[in-house]
Amino acid sequence: MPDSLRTLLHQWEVKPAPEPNFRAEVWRRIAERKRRLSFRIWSRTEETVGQPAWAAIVVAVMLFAGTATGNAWRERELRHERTAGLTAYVLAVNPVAHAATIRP
Amino acid sequence: MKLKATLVLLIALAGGAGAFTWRAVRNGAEPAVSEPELRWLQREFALSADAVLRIAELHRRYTAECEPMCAALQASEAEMRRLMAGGRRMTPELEAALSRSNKIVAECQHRMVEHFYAVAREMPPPAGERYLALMTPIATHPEQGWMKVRP
Repeated sequence: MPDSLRTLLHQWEVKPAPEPNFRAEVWRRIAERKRRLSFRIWSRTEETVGQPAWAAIVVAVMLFAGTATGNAWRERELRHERTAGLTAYVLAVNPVAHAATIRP
Repeated sequence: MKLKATLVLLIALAGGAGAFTWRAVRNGAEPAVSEPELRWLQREFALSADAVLRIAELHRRYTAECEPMCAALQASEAEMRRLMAGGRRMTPELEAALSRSNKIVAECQHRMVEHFYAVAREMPPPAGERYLALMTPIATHPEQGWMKVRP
């Protein structure tokens, strides 16, 4: 490479013209990318759930989750009722405990 | 496709909610008695309506007898607190008050055990045995035993 060209390259500076909407444009592009991504996810979900096999799986999972949550809920209620009922019974038949609970 | 997917999701949600309600909401038999403690007894020992009505009769008679015993216990405790606060050593009055308190507790235990046997006799034998096992700590240690009872 000739020396003159080397010197010229060393002195060369790029000064881009300031872009007035640069920042706003960057955010706009990010937002657009996000929108496209979420639309793609939703489209994929629609496509998948629309297939009979996947539809059956989704319904089965929801049925299972509902049953399991309902069972857990009922177990909790039953445990609470049993404890409260037993305490009420014991306080009703045991005057010593009853006197202790209403001690001034 | 969009409509089909929405429909599937709606069906799945409705199915899940239905399954939850089916499992969580109980529609048990109407209890034969109104007192919560007797309703617990009926459920816990799977008693028939006849048996629980007979037990309810015993229970109401017994709890009516318990009220004066409970009042006597409270009076005796109040007297002991007063005597103990007023002195620094054992006195004949405090001794007498202690003896009266023990006598009342022993009387309560005696009536409790009688009642537990009477209730157990109204239950089918396996339930009666389980009931007596559950009530034994209460009869043996009426002050603290009831805290150890677990369903």
